[in-house]
Amino acid sequence: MDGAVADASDRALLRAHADGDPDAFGELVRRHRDRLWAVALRTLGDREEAADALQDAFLSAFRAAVRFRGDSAVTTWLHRIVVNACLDRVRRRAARPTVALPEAGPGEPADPRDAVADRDIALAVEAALAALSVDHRAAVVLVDVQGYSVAEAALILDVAEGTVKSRCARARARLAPLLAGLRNPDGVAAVEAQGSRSAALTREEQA
Amino acid sequence: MNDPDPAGPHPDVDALSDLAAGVLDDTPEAFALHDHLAGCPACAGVAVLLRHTRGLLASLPPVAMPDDVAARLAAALSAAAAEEAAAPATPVTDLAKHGRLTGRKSRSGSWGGERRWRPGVGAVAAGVALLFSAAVGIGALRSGGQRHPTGGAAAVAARSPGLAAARRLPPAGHDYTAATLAPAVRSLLGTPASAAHPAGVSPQPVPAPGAAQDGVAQAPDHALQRLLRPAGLGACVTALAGNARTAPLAVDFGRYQGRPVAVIVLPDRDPAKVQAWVVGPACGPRTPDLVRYQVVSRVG
Repeated sequence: MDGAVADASDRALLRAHADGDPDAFGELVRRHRDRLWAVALRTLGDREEAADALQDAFLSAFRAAVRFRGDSAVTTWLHRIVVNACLDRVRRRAARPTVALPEAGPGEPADPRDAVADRDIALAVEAALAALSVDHRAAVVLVDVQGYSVAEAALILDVAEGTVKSRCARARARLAPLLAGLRNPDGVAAVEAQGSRSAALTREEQA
Repeated sequence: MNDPDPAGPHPDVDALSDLAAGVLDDTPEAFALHDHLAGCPACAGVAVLLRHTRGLLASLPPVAMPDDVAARLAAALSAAAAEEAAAPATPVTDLAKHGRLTGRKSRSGSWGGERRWRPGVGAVAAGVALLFSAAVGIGALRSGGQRHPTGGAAAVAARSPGLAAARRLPPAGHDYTAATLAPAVRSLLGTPASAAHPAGVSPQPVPAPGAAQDGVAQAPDHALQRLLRPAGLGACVTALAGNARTAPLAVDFGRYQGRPVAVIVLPDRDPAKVQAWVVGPACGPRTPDLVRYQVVSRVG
């Protein structure tokens, strides 16, 4: 199923929900829940906060379905609601750090860790993300972690593409010294393949 | 050749990152930075580090929504569907007869308050819950043995004094609704009436908590017998809490919109609140059998 077909069927589900179909919204959410969970978890850095944000978002989407105007893909609309719920939570709880920072602390290079396992690398990367402002984190999570294109991320965040690029750039600049000592499991070459990753929406729907 | 351009200082990491991200495309600054990079190994090294950073971010493994989060979201959506039914709305006549078949149901609530519509809305809730609980059930089955190697539920009950001590109301056919759930839960917890019902709001007709110790013996509904046994209740609580450590603050048996249910009150992350789980008789490791979930403030 390519992206357009998937979106047509998402739209059909949303319409069916608005018309009273009891299963449609559940199916819609089931289709996308893992990606939405990943975005919320990595934007907030805290499991419970992410669950709270997703609950707010799903309830909002459940009730707002009739107002979906169809000017974006359904997945983009869902992502936007989820990201907004995340940003709202962070802003309401002003400046409170969401997860522990890596032992090295912000601004210092992490210890060289040639021997750390991939899992530890993931933990260190997630911890380093907490050093970012939430706006920068949301952008870099969408583009670099989740593999959305800059254009998709701009729609989700409701900002210009240039703003997404700029936020991602500043986020990487902040993360670079924190992550300098970590071995890159996939090698730097992973970045060169970014173009193919940017079609993440389509690719995951094929799976 | 190895020296940076003596005419200017090294650009900062932000500038190099902006350059790599295309933020500076077609600006004079971009050309200057490219020139600098060509002759400065140190800054070229920073550019490599920035690519390394993107590579690390891209290498984070995919995550799947945990089963307990899926269950909680399903419950919240079920509750939303039920609330649509309970919301006050202009009376609509005889929707039960022809509404579903001929009307266009609107999520904006024009059919909201019609009680006879509950079966329809219940179907919405059940549909939402089913889609989640299928996944939850599979997850729980897959991991059940490992998670509770000592036989789980019974051990839970034995370890959790709260489970045995949880107050049970006499099964007076207490019929919960969306509107009465919160005050009833506060009553279960023994919140002083003055706190629970300020400003003269009349309390719900909920029997005093702890009024009968023999509530277990008088099952309100045969369907709930499973949950009246510590093992059955323990397995249900474990499924709801996502762990075998959480002890319920209170348990009640009754009906919710006519369905036989157990109302299980668990602590919330926020100490000022509790979680009210309204579950059907099948609640256990295979399915939470959720009817409704609501976070309730301890003080109304």
